[in-house]
Amino acid sequence: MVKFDVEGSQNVNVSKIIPCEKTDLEQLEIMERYTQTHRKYSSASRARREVECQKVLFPTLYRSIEKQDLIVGRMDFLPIGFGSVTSVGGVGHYCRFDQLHALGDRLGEAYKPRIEKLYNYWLDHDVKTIYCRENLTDVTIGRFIDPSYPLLATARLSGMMLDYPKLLDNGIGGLKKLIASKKEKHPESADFYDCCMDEMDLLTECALYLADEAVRTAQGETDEKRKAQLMNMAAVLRKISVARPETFPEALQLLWLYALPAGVINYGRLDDFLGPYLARDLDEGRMSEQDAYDYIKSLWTMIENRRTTVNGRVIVGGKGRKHPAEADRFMHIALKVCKDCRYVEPQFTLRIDENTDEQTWAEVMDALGAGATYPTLYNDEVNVPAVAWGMRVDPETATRYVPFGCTEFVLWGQSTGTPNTLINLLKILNIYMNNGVDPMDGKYKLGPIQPKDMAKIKSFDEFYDGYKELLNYYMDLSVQAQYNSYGVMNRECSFLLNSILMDDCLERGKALLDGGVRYLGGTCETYGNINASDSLYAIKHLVFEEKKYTLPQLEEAVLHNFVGYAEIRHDCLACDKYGNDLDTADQMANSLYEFVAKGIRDRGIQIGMQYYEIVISNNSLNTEWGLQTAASPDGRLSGMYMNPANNPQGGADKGSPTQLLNSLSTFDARYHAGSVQNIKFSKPMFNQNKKLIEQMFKVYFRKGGCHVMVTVVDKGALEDAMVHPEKYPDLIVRVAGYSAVFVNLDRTVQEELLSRTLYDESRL
Amino acid sequence: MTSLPIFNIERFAIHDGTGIRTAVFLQGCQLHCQWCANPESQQVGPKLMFLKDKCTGCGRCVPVCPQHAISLQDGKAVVDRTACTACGRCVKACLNDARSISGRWMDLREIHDTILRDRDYYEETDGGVTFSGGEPVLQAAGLEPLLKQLCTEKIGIAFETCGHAPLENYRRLAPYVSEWLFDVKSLQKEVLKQYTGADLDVILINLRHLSSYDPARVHIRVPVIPGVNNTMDDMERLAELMKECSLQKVDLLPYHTLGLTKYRQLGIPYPFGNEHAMHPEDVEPLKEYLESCGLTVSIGG
Repeated sequence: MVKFDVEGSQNVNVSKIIPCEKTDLEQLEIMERYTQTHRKYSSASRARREVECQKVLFPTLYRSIEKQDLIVGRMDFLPIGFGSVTSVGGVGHYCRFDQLHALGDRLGEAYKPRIEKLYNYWLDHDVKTIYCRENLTDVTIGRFIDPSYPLLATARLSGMMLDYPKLLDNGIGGLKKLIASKKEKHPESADFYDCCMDEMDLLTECALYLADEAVRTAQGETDEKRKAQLMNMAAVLRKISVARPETFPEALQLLWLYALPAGVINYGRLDDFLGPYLARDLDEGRMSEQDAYDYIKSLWTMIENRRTTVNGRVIVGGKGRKHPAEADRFMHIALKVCKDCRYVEPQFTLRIDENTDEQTWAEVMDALGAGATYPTLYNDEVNVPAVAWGMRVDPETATRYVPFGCTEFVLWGQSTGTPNTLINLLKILNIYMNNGVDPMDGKYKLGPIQPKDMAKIKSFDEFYDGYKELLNYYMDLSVQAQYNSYGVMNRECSFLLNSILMDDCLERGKALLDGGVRYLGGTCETYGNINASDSLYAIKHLVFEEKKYTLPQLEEAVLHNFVGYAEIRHDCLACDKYGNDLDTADQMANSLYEFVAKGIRDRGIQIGMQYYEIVISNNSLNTEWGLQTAASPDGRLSGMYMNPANNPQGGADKGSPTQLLNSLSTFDARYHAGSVQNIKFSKPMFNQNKKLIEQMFKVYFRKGGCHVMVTVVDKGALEDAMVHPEKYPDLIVRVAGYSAVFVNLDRTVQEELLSRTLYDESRL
Repeated sequence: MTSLPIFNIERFAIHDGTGIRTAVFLQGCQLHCQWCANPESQQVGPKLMFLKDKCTGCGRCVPVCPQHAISLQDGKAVVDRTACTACGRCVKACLNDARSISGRWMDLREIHDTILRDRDYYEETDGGVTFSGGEPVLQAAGLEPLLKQLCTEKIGIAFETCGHAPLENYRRLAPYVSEWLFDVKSLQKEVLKQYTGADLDVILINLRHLSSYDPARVHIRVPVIPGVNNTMDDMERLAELMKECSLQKVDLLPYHTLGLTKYRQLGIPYPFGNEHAMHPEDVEPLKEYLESCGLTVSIGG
């Protein structure tokens, strides 16, 4: 049987998690109740088991209301529980074995048998462990995150963006009516509907519980103003426990009330969903602009406090909004909040299109110039048609695209898009060139593919074809692993709260992954893209064009990590590199991109998914995977970080920002479901040339650029922060698919960020 | 095909004319300003640049030099510049990027294609190409076919000039050029001669010619050099000249020392000596004075 570490790290975790409010013993008792319930309902339907388990967690896991809160709902996560993603808790019925052991250590020897009993039960029932056991292999497919493998696979339900308008239009009471009426139509799915109904009852119970909490908190409050606020929050909760919301605070509260137990950590197009409520309250005098600002700030704080590191997406702007005028009012206030707060979450995302006005652009540039790293900008003119083609939907449906996590697109309310597979293109190249053996650990990772004798390869095309053959093998593994992740999750869970707000689950009487969701999509994260394509170009140029070295000579140098081969490395580094607006290197990057992107997409369609597309995103995995990836013909040394997202290897782009942007816009966006582009400016450079830089971004978008995210930092600040972290508690940087407080990052990740080109006046 | 001696092409140049531009730097200049920030541009032809700090003394460059011009002294490579022909073989041999060649002959097609790569940015920002140097006007004949081509493609053309080239060349170029960035270093004949070797009369003739052709296209630039041209008297003379020529816009460029490292790389002394850069605020009083004369002034271009 395949061996993997159930206690290994499961997700990118930079932000510091707020400690649990429950005592360790209370936590243990809740987890025991949860486990008993899970066992008790093991022969019931999975929907029934899920809702009964949820009842153990809610409302028990709510935390107390904090001083600054204007909406109610803070939650703890235990080492055992139910969720969608590893960022908050875990996937489905989950156990975080490392955290469980840590809790056991804190409780002491006396509790060890109880902890071990839980541990052993969940070894057989944790959804992710079940998936890993069935799908991981000894050398080709590894656990997320074990970077010694070329392909990583996991089960998670990331990036669900629910149909909040359906929630807000109906309210909990309305949803109950809807569920009842659907049940009449599909009596064969009675159990599913009954369980959905129980979830709604549970939500009502949660609302009322939190209302009582607010009243209790008010009673202990001496400040009259805060007291009134809390009483008002209680009234809001009582109302929305059944009735549909009518005001902005009610709508906001209901959305938040739902999102927490649903385990979703990305929030969708809040401008369009909440804008009409906001506008009405402002116009009818129920709320001032300042009140609106305070509410949005409170929402921002709630999102920040969940600390998911790579999620927390809030999207504003763009095509396909139902209420653009009202949505814009929300957007402008949110831009102000974003600039003032400078939180790493929410990942505030602005969809730009040709109708984005000058005022919005100016506000965007101000927020970026202040160092907020937000908003991150997506180009609807490119992305909407690209999504329509890539996901095989009509253009109007394509306007529903929303990026989540590190950039992956989903169609809100209609598709899944979780990136459950991750592939390292550079590692695969290394394996291919070394007769199937990964130089990093000496293991043979070629599967059934015949190794190629590099000495006998006559042309670059022959070399490239051999690499493609191995890529094909790994892409086959990848699509199967992705597809199986849905199979395992569906076998174990119904994800009821997600199902209720996703087309067409209620309509069909089917849970999300049981045939309910309209578009079953998925994504595959690719890494080392540019190192691989720059390596290909170096091989083409040095071996087959200049004939300066043979393939075995080059391979020998790489295997020695270039030690004793300084001249070869120098020549490798001197080859044209992607990111400098050079057709040579950029076309190679595009060729590899299209091969992999089309290969993944075609396989998704063949296996029966609506779409399965690559995403060129990045968390800090380019660095972690780089540590386990041997030296490469682009001149990169063994263990060095790989290129971040769709950007060049740090420092390989030696030209101007226009050169970089021209390279970035090389790729046809139809073949991916999100691709991240970073650019970094010094503060004076950015702020003294804002208008020109804004115009430059606009041109880049017209040229086909799908996205850009901007970091603006003081020159030297990052270097100084590595030496004196205490001086930079709030220096935010864009890692790629997320922002982070720089001093919280691992040193290797800090070094990678530092290596990236900084556009500064004295450099130009 | 015609080729031109180029020592640098800078994309996203944002201080050499309006908008986003590509600056094409040509070699060859009749002046030898003591503070020149591009000493490698003064004479046409490739120059060996050597970064001593990066040299590890490995000696790989020594045997490859066909002139036997390189030797090792105190752990660093030393080149005999009188023997060096800047052939570039030592550059290829160096693994530490300590050696490079500045200046090469580029054919017009290559220059043209490079300029065009940022065309969309020029259109959006009212930018274009700026020919600088060296003194690009000296290459008027070689440049003309390229300028013609760029004009048909509606690429805005600017020239940065020291004013010291044959009048005939300015006449030839004027129809193609939408903006002249015209350097005025000193309006005192002797001072100018002493620090730059220039003949003021030549410069004034050219400036008057361009101003009479179209004063709106002429933009004065003053590299403000401490002890040379930073007095109110200098500004008074400038304001008078600009009034006479109906010129409106002037940039004050505070003295900087970014070129110092290039002197070291070329192995020649820095003739001006002063190694203290000016701050933008140092030229504020000059700016205020010129503005009081009704001129439009900016600092730093």
